[in-house]
Amino acid sequence: MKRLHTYQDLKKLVGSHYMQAKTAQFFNQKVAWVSSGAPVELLRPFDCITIYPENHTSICGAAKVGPEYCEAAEAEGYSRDLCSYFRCDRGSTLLGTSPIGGLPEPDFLFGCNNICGTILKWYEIVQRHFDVPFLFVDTPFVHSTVYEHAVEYVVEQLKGFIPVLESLTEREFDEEKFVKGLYLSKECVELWKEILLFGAHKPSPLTCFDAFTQLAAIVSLRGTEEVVTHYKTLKTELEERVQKGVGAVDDEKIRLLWDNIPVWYAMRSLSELFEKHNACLVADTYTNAWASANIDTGNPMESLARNYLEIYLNISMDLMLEKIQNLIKVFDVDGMVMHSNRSCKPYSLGQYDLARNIKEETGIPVLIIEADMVDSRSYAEAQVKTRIEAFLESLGG
Amino acid sequence: MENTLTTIDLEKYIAEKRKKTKIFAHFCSYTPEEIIHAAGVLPVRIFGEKTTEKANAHLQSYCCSYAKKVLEQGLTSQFDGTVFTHSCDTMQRLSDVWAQNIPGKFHDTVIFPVAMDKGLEYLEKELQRFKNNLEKYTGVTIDDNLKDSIQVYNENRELLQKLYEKRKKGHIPAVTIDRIMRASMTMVKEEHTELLSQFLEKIELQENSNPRLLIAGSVTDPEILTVVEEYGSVRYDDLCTGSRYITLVEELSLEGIAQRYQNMWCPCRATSLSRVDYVMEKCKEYSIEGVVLLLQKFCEPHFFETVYTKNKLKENGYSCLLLELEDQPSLEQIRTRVQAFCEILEG
Repeated sequence: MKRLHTYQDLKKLVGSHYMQAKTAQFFNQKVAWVSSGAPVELLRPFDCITIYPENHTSICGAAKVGPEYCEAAEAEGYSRDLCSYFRCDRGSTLLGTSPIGGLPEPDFLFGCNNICGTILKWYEIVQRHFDVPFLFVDTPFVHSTVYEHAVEYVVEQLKGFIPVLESLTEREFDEEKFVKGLYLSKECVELWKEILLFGAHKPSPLTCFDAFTQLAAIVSLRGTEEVVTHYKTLKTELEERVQKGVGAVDDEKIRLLWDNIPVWYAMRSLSELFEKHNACLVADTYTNAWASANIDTGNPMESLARNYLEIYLNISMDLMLEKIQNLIKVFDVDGMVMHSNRSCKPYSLGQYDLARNIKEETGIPVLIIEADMVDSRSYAEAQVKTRIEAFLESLGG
Repeated sequence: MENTLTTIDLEKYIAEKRKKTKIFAHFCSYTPEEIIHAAGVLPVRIFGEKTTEKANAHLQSYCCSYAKKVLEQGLTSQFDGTVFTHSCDTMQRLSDVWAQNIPGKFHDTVIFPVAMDKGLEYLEKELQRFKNNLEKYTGVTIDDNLKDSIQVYNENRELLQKLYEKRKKGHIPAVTIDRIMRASMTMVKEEHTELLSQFLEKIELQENSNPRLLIAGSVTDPEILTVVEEYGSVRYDDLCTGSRYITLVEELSLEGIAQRYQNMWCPCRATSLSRVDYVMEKCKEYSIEGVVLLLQKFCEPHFFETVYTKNKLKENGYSCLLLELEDQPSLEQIRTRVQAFCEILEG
């Protein structure tokens, strides 16, 4: 795979972010551990350093230390069937280490259940361990439409956190700064959307493996200037590739859509496998989950609530299907690969029915592979490889 | 009515009722049954089939057996509607899978708040929405009947509380309690109340010198209870199909129904009440000697709690046995572990 030059910039960006966290106390800044779906824009006017345990565990996964850390959590008594992001994070805390030297300790936690109920249970354990406040945002699940009483409920919670954050960070809430952050966030999200849309070009200048890596910035730093700058650079690089007709995969013949969280420890082997068959994963449901942000200037808090209620994992399978059908159309894919991820029930349960519906309604074939995002002990590599190869051969690769 | 509570065949009972009454399936202690009752519909809590052949085509191997078993029942039975409640991630997705594969009937998911204390006002509105939806379907004005329905449920729950009180003084087999609870969640409430009051009049408490146990978990299998009671005497439970069901509604209104859930405990929710503190309180009240945690394989909310619960119980001098239940649990293995645990308790 042709690596994007912007990859080095990303490493620097994320690296300096973790460094900042380690020196936060010298600038009287508070470190918050935040879940990937939490409305982080609320924390921006309080100058918090935001740390994403999910992002950290994906780094651990890619560095292949997942099993070791998971085992440490299991030795403490946690079941191997629990989410591997949790087990990996717990293990890293217990062992006091990680590929980036462990996470800086939190001053408080900010978690939201719009990605899963697991966040609540996981963060309760973190809260007990560090004995710090846990600000929990409850976002009712969306079945068909967003209920107004659900929006009101989320708005009330967000407003309720303001005095708590003021006292935690010893800073006053600055509405102007807050709204500015929202617009920066919107800019990030729109840039991100444009970047992902490059996958619609033929050949595609990027694969979803690039998107998985580049996602780190929008997850942990959206609402900041640095990310806007970074994504602008990335966009330029992609534009150049398109102008020169350079594809991420040589001689692109098969275009595919990916579903679910990446198999972090198998990123390289999987991308090589697809590339060998001239197959490019041009889009995925995962990184597209961060591609919407509407702002009503008259009512910024309500916009924030709405955006975070409608996040991909907080909506029903009917609504997911609509989004998938749209991706299939926009990116003009020949097939879909679903990662049945035993660590993520809200993402994975329902995939069998989704796959059936996609085949029936769009006619494209769907392959389901069994794996886990971080715990490679649950990954039968040879078997998965054989299945992917058979699938690609059936598509003419 | 010649049936008594412990011998009644619930399957036949439902089949008989189906001829005359609309029946909704539900799955959770949080289902607002009073509202469904006030709409003239019989809410029946379903416990699932023994096999999961059809369900396996819809749910992965790492999905809990309860979800698969109830889906199997949904795919093979006839209900007039289904009411889900937002609890865990699995049941949330099951609601979608259910709606796609068992279509054309009433289907609603009451999206409960997870932060119960902050979410009270939201919950009232959500119950109101559910009520309106149900009214549209049945044509019944629920408000006309709601007070009476709440009273019907409270009356039944008061008797169930009396039943639980009796366990302080003597032994009632856990399978008997389980049957009564399941019947309560299945039968027309008024009929169950009548049988239950007869049962309570006649009940004779048994002598039992086995260690006094508290069992905690989600939905249990009667076979497991029987094995546990070969060596122990269960005096209290913290189960979805047990004590969690018997909380009363104080104020006879929709708001009162919403308020009731504040005093219930479920690991899917952020409550001010910590479960282990509640369990220890009950341990004191019921002079419990040991706690048995029953864990259904793949049940995330319960498994997340175990380390903290176990450690805290230990710190406070309570012995605790953790039983992880596979889809097809080995009773022999469970028997050996319960026996060893109870022997230690007996010193």
